[in-house]
Amino acid sequence: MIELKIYTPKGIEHEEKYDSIVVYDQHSGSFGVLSGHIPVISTISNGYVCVKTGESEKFIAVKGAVFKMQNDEASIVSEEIAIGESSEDAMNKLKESYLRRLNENKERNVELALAENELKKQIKKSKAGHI
Amino acid sequence: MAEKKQIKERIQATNKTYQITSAMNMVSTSKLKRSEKSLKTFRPISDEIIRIMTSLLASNDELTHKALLSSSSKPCYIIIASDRGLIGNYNNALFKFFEAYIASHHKSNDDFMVATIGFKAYMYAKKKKYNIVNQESVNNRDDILFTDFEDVSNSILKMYLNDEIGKTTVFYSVFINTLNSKIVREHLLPIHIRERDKNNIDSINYTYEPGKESVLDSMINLYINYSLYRIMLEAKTSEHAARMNAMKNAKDNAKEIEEKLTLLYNHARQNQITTELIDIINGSNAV
Repeated sequence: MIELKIYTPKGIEHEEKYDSIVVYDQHSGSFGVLSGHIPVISTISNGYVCVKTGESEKFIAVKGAVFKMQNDEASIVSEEIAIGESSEDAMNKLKESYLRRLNENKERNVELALAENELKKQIKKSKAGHI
Repeated sequence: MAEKKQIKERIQATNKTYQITSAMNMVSTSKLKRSEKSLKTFRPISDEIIRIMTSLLASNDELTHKALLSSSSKPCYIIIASDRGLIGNYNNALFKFFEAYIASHHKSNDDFMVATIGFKAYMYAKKKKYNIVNQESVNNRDDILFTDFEDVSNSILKMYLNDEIGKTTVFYSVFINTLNSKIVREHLLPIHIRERDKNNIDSINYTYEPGKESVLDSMINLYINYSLYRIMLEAKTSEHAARMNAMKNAKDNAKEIEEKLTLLYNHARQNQITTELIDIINGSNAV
């Protein structure tokens, strides 16, 4: 069994033992590891890992990540993760959260600009400089 | 009578200010604790990225990357400020520090590029008519995500690799303790591996998939993003501490003003009572 730990800026987000792990990166392709694999390091700019235990499998989409394995202990340091039942499902979840955040940021920029204008208007109106 | 009413209104307004600033002080205190915890959680992750890259570079002396080599192109400065105000001198001190650095190193705004993180930094750079890398404001939210700034960090790396910009330095405020913070500048590009990191490499002989060059190429990108994330966490912690102090001062001042105004109000009330009594006495004397 391989013990997998996934770290994100929030800390350890996922920790479980698996029979095998397949690492897939959109740019550099894929490779698989089983128990007893030689020490290996790989990067995953955008991709996923497929983890298997017996018949069940799970897909974990990762972004800006590093995969490292030695002595049957695997770790992934990732910016963000999303777990899904298929690779598409996991990747879509990650993409959705990315797009949601971008939209939130755009709205926030507009709100901040409006708030700043309003504040300027109110300061001018209150003639605070003449008190 | 009119004077009494005016003072009463001012007391109410000051009390409201006291309540708001007290609440903001408490919120900042709790956010500061959370931010410190995030920084503590993230440091080992950031160290791991540095360790992997240092180990990779140590595994082959001939392995190199353009991001590791210095460039003579015009420098780029990343300013990390806050999104919002009510933060005392936090942003202004940073901008003054940056301006002093610019004044001593450059003659014209065309000699350098600026990238901003945080709405206040963006507005400042626009006002100063600097050449800005990012087309719109990059959010500096309390819950920082890589998504927020990766566009600007990717642009900076790409521009550095294309020789459009040279040495890249980050200006930000670093948290020391709740009362003190320090404005620092930290070099981001070219990537410089510190001596203490060079001594902290993995002794295991790893295989790099799909190859050392390809892994290094990706690692450079990750290194920039993870370094910037750590810097942003440091700046965010400092921001919360600054806001906590600013709100504490505002709260104390509001309390002091409220006490003074209450005294003034009591004087005015006493004056009114005295005047009324004199009127009554004068009236009864007249009868």
